[in-house]
Amino acid sequence: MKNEIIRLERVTQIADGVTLLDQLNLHIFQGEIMGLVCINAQGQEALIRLLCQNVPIHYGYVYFQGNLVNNYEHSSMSVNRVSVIEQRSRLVEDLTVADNIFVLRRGFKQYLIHPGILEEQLARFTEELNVHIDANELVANLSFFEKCVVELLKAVVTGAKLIVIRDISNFISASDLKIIHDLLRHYAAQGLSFLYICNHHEEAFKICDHVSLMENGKVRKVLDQTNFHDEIISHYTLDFSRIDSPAIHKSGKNGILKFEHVFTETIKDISFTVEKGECVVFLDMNNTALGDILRLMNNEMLPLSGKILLDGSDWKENGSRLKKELCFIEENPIRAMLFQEMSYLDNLCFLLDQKRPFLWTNPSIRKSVAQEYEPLIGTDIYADDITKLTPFSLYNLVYYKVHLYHPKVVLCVQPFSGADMYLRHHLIGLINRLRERKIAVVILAVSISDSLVVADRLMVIENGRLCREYHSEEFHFFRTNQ
Amino acid sequence: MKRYQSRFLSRRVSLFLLLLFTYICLLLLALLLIAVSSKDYIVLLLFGFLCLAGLLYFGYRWVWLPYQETEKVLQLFASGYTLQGIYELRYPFSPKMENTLKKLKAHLNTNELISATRKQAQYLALQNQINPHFLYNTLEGIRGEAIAAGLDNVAEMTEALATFFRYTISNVENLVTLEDELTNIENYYIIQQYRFGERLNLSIVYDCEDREEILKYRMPKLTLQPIVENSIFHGIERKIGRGNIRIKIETTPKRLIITVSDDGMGMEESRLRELNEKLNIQSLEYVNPDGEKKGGIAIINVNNRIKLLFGEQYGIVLYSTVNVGTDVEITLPLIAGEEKRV
Repeated sequence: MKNEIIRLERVTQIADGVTLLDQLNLHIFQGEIMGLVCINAQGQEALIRLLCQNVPIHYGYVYFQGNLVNNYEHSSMSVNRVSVIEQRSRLVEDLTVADNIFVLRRGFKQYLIHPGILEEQLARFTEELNVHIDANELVANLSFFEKCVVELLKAVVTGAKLIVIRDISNFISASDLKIIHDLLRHYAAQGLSFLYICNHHEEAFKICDHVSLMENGKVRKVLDQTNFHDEIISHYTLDFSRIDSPAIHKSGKNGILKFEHVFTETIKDISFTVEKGECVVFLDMNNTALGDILRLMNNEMLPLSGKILLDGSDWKENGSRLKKELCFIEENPIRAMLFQEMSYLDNLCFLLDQKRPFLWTNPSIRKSVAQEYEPLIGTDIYADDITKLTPFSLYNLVYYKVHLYHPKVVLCVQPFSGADMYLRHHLIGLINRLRERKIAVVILAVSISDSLVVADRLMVIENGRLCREYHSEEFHFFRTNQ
Repeated sequence: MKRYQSRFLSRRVSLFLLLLFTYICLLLLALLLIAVSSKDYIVLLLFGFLCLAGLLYFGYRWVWLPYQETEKVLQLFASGYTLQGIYELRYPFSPKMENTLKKLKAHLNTNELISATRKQAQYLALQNQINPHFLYNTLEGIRGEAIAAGLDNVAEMTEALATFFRYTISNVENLVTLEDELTNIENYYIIQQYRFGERLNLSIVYDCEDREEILKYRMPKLTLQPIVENSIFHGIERKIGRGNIRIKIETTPKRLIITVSDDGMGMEESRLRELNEKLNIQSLEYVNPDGEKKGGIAIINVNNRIKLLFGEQYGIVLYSTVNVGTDVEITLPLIAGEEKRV
């Protein structure tokens, strides 16, 4: 007999006329790792909130540990013993690891805190898990992986019955992900339950006992391990099979971007060449080197030794001039790269003023930009308030901004992070639009996501070294090794 | 429209309370002006405002929230989401309303509904078995086996058919054990195998260790057979190649969860939505169906019977995708013990 931790029965939640959860059924047993692959993002946020707190629902029943805790007639607003681990940490950055785990919890009634005792208590957990975390370290100084482990320990210590793990591969590296998976299995064997939310079924299949596929706030299919194969999933997903990439244009022996035996504190002898219009993915297995690559290309640091060439010119000597030939698309760019108070067209032209000094005083330039890009973007290009636009339209804005600016190289940081399947499919199209303009696209990632669909080459970095390189026809070797 | 709205007492009471509240506020405001100009009774007046605030809060918790809850349940009843909800109203508007609902409940006698669904289950099962195709195929199977002089097979098939008929017709009002239901399914499978041969494969999976104990749990008779039949005829029959049906059984301390999955044709999103809506809304429309809409009646019937017997929190949920298959998840209360009549 299995103990049910949470059971959602025909839960419907409607907010502002939008059905967020639509007759949703979900049950998670004790000691089970239930995967939730969201085909689109609708309802994901509402579901997590509903698991944590018994907020009002339009219809349905919610049972926690077999007891009815929420139903359409009465919602008590009480809090369930559920913890959420996601990119936005819930830890207090200025407190130590031990304080976060043991002191900041309900039921802690001591007035005098003995750091030594807390340290001992933490050591008991970390030894059991075979991980090392300093109890007196400030949370602010921890890596994402360490924060993740601390949040997991905090959830265990506070007695959570269900832990929601949300899009974890977006922010921790592939090798750390394996350790986290081991920890989840360890605690699942001890009776803790997990809801593992991710955008990729391959990731869920590796760790989960069951996987629910959710679309439009509704569970479409619950798969058990016997059904964990791509054939079934293909009926629910868009076609991500490799499309013909735009042609790569060889530009001399130096390519458009070249690293020659580059060393920094974390990068160890990296050499590569990227050609015009090529898409190269750098997968950092330990999440150590990507930061330095970004800083190098941002002119925030110089290599300890080695040479970087952009379009044949030395980056170190001509950095300020060459910087104009380079663009960055940050992680979650619609939050980080757009100005909400500016119109769509002004946002689109924002980078262009570096190349066209009279852009803002000459409306005819912007008018002709609008005319040129309207067939690609649609009527959204005339929007004055971009806050009312869909994520699709905003991603169009980010990528077409770069398209218009036309740099030689664009560096994309985790472009598929947090994007649902439809958005990822759309992003692949946008990246190919850039490549059609002969812009070299360098993707910096800690998880592979759908990067291989668009990539010509994959470079795997381990411990700061470029350890493997795969061309598109060899990607299946990489997938097999994963 | 406004005139139409004011027909309702709830509207009139709301308006009346609003007027009363406005009157009190104006009165307090007037008193406040007098008190400020004469500089007397200010404390008393403040106390008056405090009392008003307390009264409002009390009214919100004691009247407004329960009123909203009752309104919501009535609205959900009207849109078909719930039937049980209006019988279990925590805050009826008045004793008369409560009595009215009791009377309504008596009119919609649950026992009669159960009896109707039970009869419908038996009727549906029999109707499908007596239909010419069923008999023809079965007899054809027997004949074929006789010609081939495989008398053992003829005996086995005939026995399966007889046992199946007997089980279907007798004592539908009883809760039977899961073992009985599964034996009936195995009989049904034997019969269908003569038609489908290797094309049809049935497996029963117990997702727990204590199998012997699980088989003793009780459930309404003819719960599984209509669902398996649906899987075969709407899922696997039209499929090219081999079809698999899997019955998975799970238990929790309070529930028995049975999932019947097939890897057949599945159904379109619109059809799935329509069926799931029917599964959520309890009505007996399906008892007199028109010919065209017959598909899925058996599942709706089983679902209604479960809900009427055990409550709205139990029943059937459907998941289906075209070319992938259909999963029917049946949730029942965990009932152990002797044979029960329902």
